[in-house]
Amino acid sequence: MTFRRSTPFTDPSLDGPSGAMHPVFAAARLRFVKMIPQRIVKIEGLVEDINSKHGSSADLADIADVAHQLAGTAATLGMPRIGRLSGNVERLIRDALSSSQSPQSVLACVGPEIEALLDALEDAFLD
Amino acid sequence: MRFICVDDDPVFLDIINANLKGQGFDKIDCVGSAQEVLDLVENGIRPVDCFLVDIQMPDKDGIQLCRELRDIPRYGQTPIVMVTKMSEKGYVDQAFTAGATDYVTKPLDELEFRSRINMVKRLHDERNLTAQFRKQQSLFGNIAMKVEYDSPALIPEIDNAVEYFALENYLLTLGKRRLRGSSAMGINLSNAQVFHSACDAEEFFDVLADVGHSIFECLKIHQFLISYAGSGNFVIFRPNSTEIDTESLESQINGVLNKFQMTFAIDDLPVPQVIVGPSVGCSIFSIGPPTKMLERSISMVQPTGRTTRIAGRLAA
Repeated sequence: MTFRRSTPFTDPSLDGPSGAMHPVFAAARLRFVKMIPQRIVKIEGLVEDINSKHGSSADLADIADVAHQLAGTAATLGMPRIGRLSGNVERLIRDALSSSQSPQSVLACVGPEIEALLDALEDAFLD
Repeated sequence: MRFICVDDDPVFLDIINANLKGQGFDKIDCVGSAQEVLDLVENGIRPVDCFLVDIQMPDKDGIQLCRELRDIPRYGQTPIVMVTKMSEKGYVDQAFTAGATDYVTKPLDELEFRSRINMVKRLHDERNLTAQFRKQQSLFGNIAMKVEYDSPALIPEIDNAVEYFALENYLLTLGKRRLRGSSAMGINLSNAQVFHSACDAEEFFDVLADVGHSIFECLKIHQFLISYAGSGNFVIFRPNSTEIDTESLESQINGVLNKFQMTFAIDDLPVPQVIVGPSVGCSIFSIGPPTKMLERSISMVQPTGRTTRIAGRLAA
């Protein structure tokens, strides 16, 4: 049994859209980018619901779920910043969900991270 | 080989699909939920050779899916590889206890994924060859089928039992740092060769199951995983290293087995007897992979090790 590496895939050729990409990932990256608008809309909708006081912990968990999906895929596709930001959002929300904080106060803490993630997603879509 | 891949992220399914195709596999079904997997296996005519399973999914998660697949007799030993972002020890523990064969974390390292799939393919090919050989043997009728003496096997009907290959993968997934404080203990069936010579494959597995169950009964107050590594060797992995009196445990297990003396005597077989080795820990400073602790625990109950233990007792 060979000893395993634990480092993620970090081919520098994948940094940014101008890098030459392995064909395996090119199509997947294109699909990921095409799905960005619907993910942004989903996160913004959930944030709005929570801010309007109609939202619940379930909405926060939904944001964490979207962040989880982004984190797992983005880094594999050579978008480490989106991977890191979404991983942070997911971790912060899940840690807060185990406490008794209200969704609104959790959002107040995690808000800046969510904004940074949304900005990174927009940048990736527009590039 | 036929694969079923399940992940609620369609983009990740594209990545896995493309990776597998790049490795030359073309029978790949990609679905978005655990229920779709269960529907496919229930209605499918062609058997599945490997499942690639995400953990975090809505409704039913990948760990529950793994449990339910293992409950289907046809898929009791089919490789199930978890492909997930969840790297925390709790998830790894749950996955392997539920019956996972291997665990790959996202983001996906292409070379590592390729090497894991190659290992799964080797396992699949070996099992296929064995199954074909047995089928050919059975065509000649009345020829007792034998199992390879040094082959690992899954002990049936024990919740804590895992395949040796999966136990190795579990240790490799966790790594030495997270294995700190855990321990492995070898338990050798000292008259395994006698049973292997005298019994056909089914009878030999029955003996292994009896021994496995006896070990389980004597250890059930502890948290542990049990695996059969081949050559009469069982390995007990514990997430801690609380002291166990090995001599007392050895007496207990042999005591349980001795109760079945009459049953074995009817088949003209001796009572299985075990030797319990000392607990072996995993140091982050030790050379070699984390699986070395399994190998060390087994080596401590081999004939040379036994002589050392007996000499030690006499010296005491």
